[in-house]
Amino acid sequence: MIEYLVAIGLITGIFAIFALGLNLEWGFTGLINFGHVGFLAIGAYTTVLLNQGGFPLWISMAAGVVLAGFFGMLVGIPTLKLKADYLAIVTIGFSEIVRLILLNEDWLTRGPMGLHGFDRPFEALIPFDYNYFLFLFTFVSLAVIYILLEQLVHSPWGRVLKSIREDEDVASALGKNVFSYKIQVLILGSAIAGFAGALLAFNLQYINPRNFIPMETFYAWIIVVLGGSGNNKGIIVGAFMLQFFYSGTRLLQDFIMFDSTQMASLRIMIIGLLLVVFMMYKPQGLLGKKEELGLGR
Amino acid sequence: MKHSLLEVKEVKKQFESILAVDDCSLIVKKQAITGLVGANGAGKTTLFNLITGYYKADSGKILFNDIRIDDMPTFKRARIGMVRTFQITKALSRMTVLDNMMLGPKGQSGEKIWNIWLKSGKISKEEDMAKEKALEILDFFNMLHMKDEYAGALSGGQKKLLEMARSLMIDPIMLLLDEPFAGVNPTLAKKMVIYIKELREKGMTFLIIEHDIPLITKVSDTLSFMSQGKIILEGTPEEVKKDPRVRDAYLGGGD
Repeated sequence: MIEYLVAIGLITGIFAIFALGLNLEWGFTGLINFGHVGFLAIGAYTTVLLNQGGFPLWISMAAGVVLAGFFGMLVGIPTLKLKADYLAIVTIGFSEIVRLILLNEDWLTRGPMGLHGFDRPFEALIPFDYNYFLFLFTFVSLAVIYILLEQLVHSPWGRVLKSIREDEDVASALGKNVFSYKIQVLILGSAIAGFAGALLAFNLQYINPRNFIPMETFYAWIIVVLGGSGNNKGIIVGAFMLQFFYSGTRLLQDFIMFDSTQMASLRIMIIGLLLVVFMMYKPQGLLGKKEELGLGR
Repeated sequence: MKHSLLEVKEVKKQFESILAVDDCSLIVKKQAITGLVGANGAGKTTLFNLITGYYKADSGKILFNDIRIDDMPTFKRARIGMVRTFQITKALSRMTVLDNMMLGPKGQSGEKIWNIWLKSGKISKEEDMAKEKALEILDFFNMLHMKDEYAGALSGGQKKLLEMARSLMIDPIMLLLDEPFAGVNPTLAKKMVIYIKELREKGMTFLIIEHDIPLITKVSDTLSFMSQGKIILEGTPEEVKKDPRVRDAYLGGGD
């Protein structure tokens, strides 16, 4: 039982980090990123490929984070001058391009076969079940990222982000370089996703392009909306809640006489229903502020 | 004679089939208060958008303090001292009134990401100063008690005031106000007129779009009357008001 809880706790922590990156972009700055998973993939594959190529794990991981941030900038430069919706289109396209490259460039990524056999942080030094260590490592990282993000969003820098979210015309009228802030946010959000990607690789021990389908992006969106966008604490709670819906419905298997495919479909329906009902009662998300909902532009 | 601060020279802006601003020229002198009047659709707000960089002119020149600014992005124009408000108010809804205000000051150390960890002492000092100034200005506009409210929860008139108050946080050289008195109660509007004049005494220059003729007369040194994309008449408020074209625009008639 404890192993199971650690295992689902681990994946929850990784997704919480992943969603914190999205929350910086959407929750605080109003950027619609529908391709967040692309940066998760870049983080994961860069870490694994460099490590397999003989680089020390820490360097590989750092390179994964930096490269994810770099691609965030590359995607942002041509699109962020346009209105918000274009970013949504470009990012979802970008994440699919990343996935298809990973799938088809066999010489580099072994395509659908995926990659396995790579180092994990301190693996040789851990005398007990490695998952416990990875769990600890993930949650310490989550805590650090959370604290840094909280400092950022409560600073004058964060205030500029919120003003861009509310109305970027005002931000420029007050002398703020809106484009530069959006780029910074996209770099940072993508780098966080890249870090989550490395953790995901450590957790799975085997990565392949199927891990990086667009649905993963929307799990992050569900977490952000469930927890309350623009609230970092809410994101962490939202990640646990989604995991609770997700794993909780698995227990149904013991009570209902369906075969596994039917069961899988039923679960998705129940999860959807739970999300809809939750949103009806708490449209602002678990820790979102209700009074903010009515405040349109 | 005082030197000119803003010079708009034969600026043109076409939208599809509408020529919104047509070879329009305007000079605003340093420390002057200039009222920009004209019927709806005359092109006043478009001219504002051209001056502040929200639109790019098809042709013509715009100079601010003798620097050509027509290719400068909006935020840079704000940094060299030209700040505007909007006709349709743009309160930053899901931010408090105080946060709206504190956004104003330019050159804040804390707006650079690394400084948040490297210069936290300097940032908190700047924040204290900005807060003090914000509270002072809010107090003038009778909004001190609302400082912790969401800006989106304010009334239309209060949002107008907040916009003007927020622009003052930057210490602009020139303030362009787009209908600052619309929806503001008469007592406060009169107080604002006095305040604008006080700010002018301290060196600020104003260009104000306003439909309330008595108020704009009271506040401005000169009025510029705009019609069909051009400034067709300039003079003291009394002169401009007497002109039959102006009377047509404001007292029925129209075409």
